Amino acid sequence: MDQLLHALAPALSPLNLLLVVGGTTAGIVIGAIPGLTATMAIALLVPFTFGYSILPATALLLGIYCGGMYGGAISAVLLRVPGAPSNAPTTFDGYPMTLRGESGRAIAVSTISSFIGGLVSTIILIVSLSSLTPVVLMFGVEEYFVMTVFGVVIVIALSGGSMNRGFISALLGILVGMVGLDRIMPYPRFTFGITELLVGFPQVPALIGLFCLSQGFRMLEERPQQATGSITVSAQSISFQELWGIRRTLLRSSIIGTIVGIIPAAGPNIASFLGYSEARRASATPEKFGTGIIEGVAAPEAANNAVPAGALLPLLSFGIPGDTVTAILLGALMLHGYAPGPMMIRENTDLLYPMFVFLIVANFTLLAVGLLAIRPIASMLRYTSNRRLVGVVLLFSIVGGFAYSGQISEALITVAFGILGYLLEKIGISIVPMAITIILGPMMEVYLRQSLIANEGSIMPLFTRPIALALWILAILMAWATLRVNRRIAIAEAAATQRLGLSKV
Amino acid sequence: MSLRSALFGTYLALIGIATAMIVVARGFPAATLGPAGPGFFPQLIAVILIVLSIAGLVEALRLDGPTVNIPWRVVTAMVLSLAYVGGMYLIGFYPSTFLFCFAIMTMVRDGESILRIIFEALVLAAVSYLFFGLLLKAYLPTGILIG
Repeated sequence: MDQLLHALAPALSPLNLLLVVGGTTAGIVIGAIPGLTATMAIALLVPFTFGYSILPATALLLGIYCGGMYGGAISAVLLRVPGAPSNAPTTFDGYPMTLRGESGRAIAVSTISSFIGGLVSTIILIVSLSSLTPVVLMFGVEEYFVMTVFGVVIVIALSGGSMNRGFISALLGILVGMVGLDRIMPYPRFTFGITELLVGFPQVPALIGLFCLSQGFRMLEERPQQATGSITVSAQSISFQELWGIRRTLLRSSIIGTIVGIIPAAGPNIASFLGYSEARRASATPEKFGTGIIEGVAAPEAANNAVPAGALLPLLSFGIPGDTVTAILLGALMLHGYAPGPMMIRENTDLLYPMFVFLIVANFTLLAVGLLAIRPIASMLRYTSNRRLVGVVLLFSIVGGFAYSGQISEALITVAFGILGYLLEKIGISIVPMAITIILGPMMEVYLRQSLIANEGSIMPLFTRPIALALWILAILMAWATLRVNRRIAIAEAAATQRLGLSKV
Repeated sequence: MSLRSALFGTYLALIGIATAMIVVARGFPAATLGPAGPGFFPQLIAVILIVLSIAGLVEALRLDGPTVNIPWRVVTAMVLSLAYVGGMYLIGFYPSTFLFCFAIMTMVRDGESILRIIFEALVLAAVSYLFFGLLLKAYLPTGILIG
C-alpha cells in the first residue's frame, strides 16, 4: 500500500495524466468503430509511445487498452454491431433497450459496469501480485521454460479450429524469433548476410503487420458497416437502487473476467460470454434475458473490462502475455528496455506501481467519458465509413511500422507480415499463436538451453522439479478445460449470432 | 483455389523450409558451453514442423469443398502497400503517402467524386504528417530521387 501511495506522485504528473486520459479516450473512440478492436487500437498507437520514456508510454498504452475494451459496447448498444467480438453479448439486451428508447440507460449501465469490472480486477491484480511475488521468485529457468510452453499451449487450445494448424502457427512465430544473433553464443542465424537481420525481426513492426495491416486487408472483403440514419442517445440514466439490485451480477462478472484474463490467451470474448451465461444461469428470471434488461448489459461488460488487469497478472509476474494485447504491450515494454517478469517485480517497482495507478485512472476516465461525452462519440459513428477506415488502417499500420527506427526495411517487414497474416487466416491458420510466439519463442529457447547447461544436458529437471511438474499438470488440465470451454463458447456464439442475426466483425 | 490445394501448397512449402533450416543449422558451430549450441533449437523446431506439416497434409486430404478466394481489391491493396514502401524510398514520404491514400480510396470509392477523394487523401496525408512527423517526431524519408 505504501508503494502504491509513493507511486501516486510520479504516476499523476500532468503528462502522464494527460496521456492516460487521452489514451483511454482514443481507445474508446477506436473501440467504438465496428471492426476496430482493442488489439488494433494498441498496435496502431504503439508508435506514439516511442518518443516518450517508459512511464508516459505505459500510461498511454494502458489507457488505450482499457478504453478499447469498453468502446465496443457503444456500437453494440446503439447499432447492434459489436465494436469487437467480445461486445457481442452486450447487443442481446443493449439493443432491445435502444429500440425501446432507453439507449441512455443501456450506455450508462455498460459504462458503470465496465468501470466496476475494471476497478475490481485492478484491486485483485494489486493484491495477487503482492502475494505471488515470493512464489515467482522461487522460479528457476526450468519453471520459466514450462511457463512459456504452458502459455503457448493454452493459446493454441483457444485459437479455435484445427489444433495442428494452431501448433504450426506457433512454430512459425518461433522460427521468426530465431532469426538474428544467437542469444547465448553470439552467432548469426538465418540472416543470409543481411546486416539489418542481425538483431532479428523487429517484433513491433511484425505485430503491427499481423494484427493491423492484415485486418485492413480483411476490411476490404467486408461489406461496409456504416451507420445510417440518426444515432441518438436518450437522456435517461440509471438509479443507484437499480445498480444495487444487480450488485451480485457485477461482482460475479468482474471476478469471472479477472480469472479469464489471467488464463493465457483466454481473452475478453470468453469472459463476456461466460459473464452473460452465468448471470442468466443465476437469475431468478432467466427468460427475461435477451428482452432488454440491465443485467444482460452489465454482465458481459463488467466481465470483458475485467480482462485487462487480469491479463496483466501473468505478464507482470511471469513475463507471459495473457492475450494478444498484452503480447503487443510486452513488445512495446521490451522496446523501452523493460522485460516484465520476476526481475521487474523485484527491481522495477518504480514502473509497476504507477501501472496500477494508470489502470485506476483509466477506469475513472472511461466512467467520465461514458457518462458525459457519449453523444459526440455516438454521432461520430455516423461519419465512419469503410473507405476512410481502410485508408487510415493501412496508412497508419505501414507508417507506424517504421516510425520507431525510421528504417524503410521495417515498413517492408510490416507489409510482409500483413500479407502473411492475411494469407494464413485465409487458409484457417490463426495468427494469434504466431504473434504470441514471436515474443515468447526467443525466451523459450534461452530458458531451455540455460536449463540444459545448468543440468549438464539432462532434460529431466524440466519434469521432475516440483513446481515444474505442477505447472505441466496444470498446463495439461487447463488445455483440456479450455478446449471444452472453447467448444461451448463457439456453440453459444453461433447460436446467438443465428438467433439475433448479428453482423460479424 | 480449393482450401485443400492451398493447405497442401503451404504444408509442402513448410516442409521445404524446415528441411532447409536443418541443413543450414547443421553448419552452425558446436556449443562451447553445455550441450546445446546455436543449431540445437532450430533443428528441434524444424523436425516438429516437418512432423506437423505431414500430419497437416493428411488432414488436408480429408477436406472437401471449401475454396479460398482472394478478392482483387485485397491483392491490389497488397501491391499498393509494397509500392508505397518503395515509393517512400524513392520519392519520399509526402508524395508517396498522398498517392497511396488516393489509390486506396479510389479503389474502395462508393460513388464519391474524384475531387472529394483527392481532398480526403490530402487530409489523410496531412493527418499522418501531423501525427508521425510533428507529434512523434519520426524520421519521414525524403526519398533518394528528391532528397
